[in-house]
Amino acid sequence: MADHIVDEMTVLETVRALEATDEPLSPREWSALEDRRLRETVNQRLARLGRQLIEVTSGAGGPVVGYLSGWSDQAASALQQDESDLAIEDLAVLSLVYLHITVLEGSFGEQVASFQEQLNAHQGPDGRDIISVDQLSESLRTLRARQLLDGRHRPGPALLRLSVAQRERLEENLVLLCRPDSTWASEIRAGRRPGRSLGGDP
Amino acid sequence: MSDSELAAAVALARARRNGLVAATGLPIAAMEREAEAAGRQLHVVVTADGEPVLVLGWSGSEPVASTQAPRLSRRRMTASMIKCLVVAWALLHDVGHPRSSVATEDVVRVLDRLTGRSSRTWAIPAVEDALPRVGLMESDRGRWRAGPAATTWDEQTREVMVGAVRRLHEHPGWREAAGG
Repeated sequence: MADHIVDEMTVLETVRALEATDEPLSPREWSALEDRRLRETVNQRLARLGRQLIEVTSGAGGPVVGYLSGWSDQAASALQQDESDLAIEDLAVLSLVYLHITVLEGSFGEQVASFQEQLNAHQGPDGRDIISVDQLSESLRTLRARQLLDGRHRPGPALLRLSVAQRERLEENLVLLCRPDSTWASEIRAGRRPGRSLGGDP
Repeated sequence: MSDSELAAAVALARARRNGLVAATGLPIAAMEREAEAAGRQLHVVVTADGEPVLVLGWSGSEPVASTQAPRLSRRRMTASMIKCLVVAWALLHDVGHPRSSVATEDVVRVLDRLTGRSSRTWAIPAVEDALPRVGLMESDRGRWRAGPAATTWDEQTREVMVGAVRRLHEHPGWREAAGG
């Protein structure tokens, strides 16, 4: 009985900390996160809030270095039907940053100049011209305020809160954006017919 | 998770994401139960428009940031948000000239006069975007008043705000800056 009470207090304290924290919680310091059984209980409590426990790893497939909470896949599916408080220009800037930093630099190992430098050096018409200089500053400020970008205009800590399914979804969206006519993109669109838990575009 | 549990969870997620959610038609009792089981508290607040909304707060006091183990880092409001919130609060609770709402220009004018510098570029986005987005201010016919999230502050947070407002009221330049 005493163990149960201790566990309940520990679970509640951990759930509250996960919902409040700005950085991943260390399992060495938050004992409930070190214990698989308690971790499952924490995740169940989070699910009641439309949230879920997110493992933060050291690199893709690396060891778990901490935990955060993020939207549950079911809640994310419902929330993405709501009107976003991000303008289409904000989303365009975020997509460009993600493409440059996470995909070109992170995944493909390309040496790329900073996002700001590339925009400043850009000449000639293409999709980026839809974002004016004033709008760009405003979008960067908005994205930083939501922690979608960090102070150096790189993908921000909010992206750590994506679940595996949400991250896969984001990567699929990049395929749809960059290779819309590919067989891969056709397969993705076919797989997104109604009935899947994460339907619709983010 | 049953359909009713999922409906409550999604409504709680909306309350968190948007700072508040309209209460009409929501399973409030179920939401209160689910929130409590996770150390949160659901508050029913009436907006300036007279609409009941739900705000997700904390059971008891808020989790406190700690730099010692177990470490807990909490996101802070920006300095511009804090300055604008305190000035708006001081105007709303000005003993000599209490107001039910403030204009953006009121906050900008007080900041400019107290600091001797223009605050317009950072104060207007804070008052009109950042603070309403987190539910600390809400629109009231083109002006601003305390938002729903502010009504759910715990006692410690209220005391901090009362202290900040008192210090501002005691500032030698306050009366001239606030006008009225």
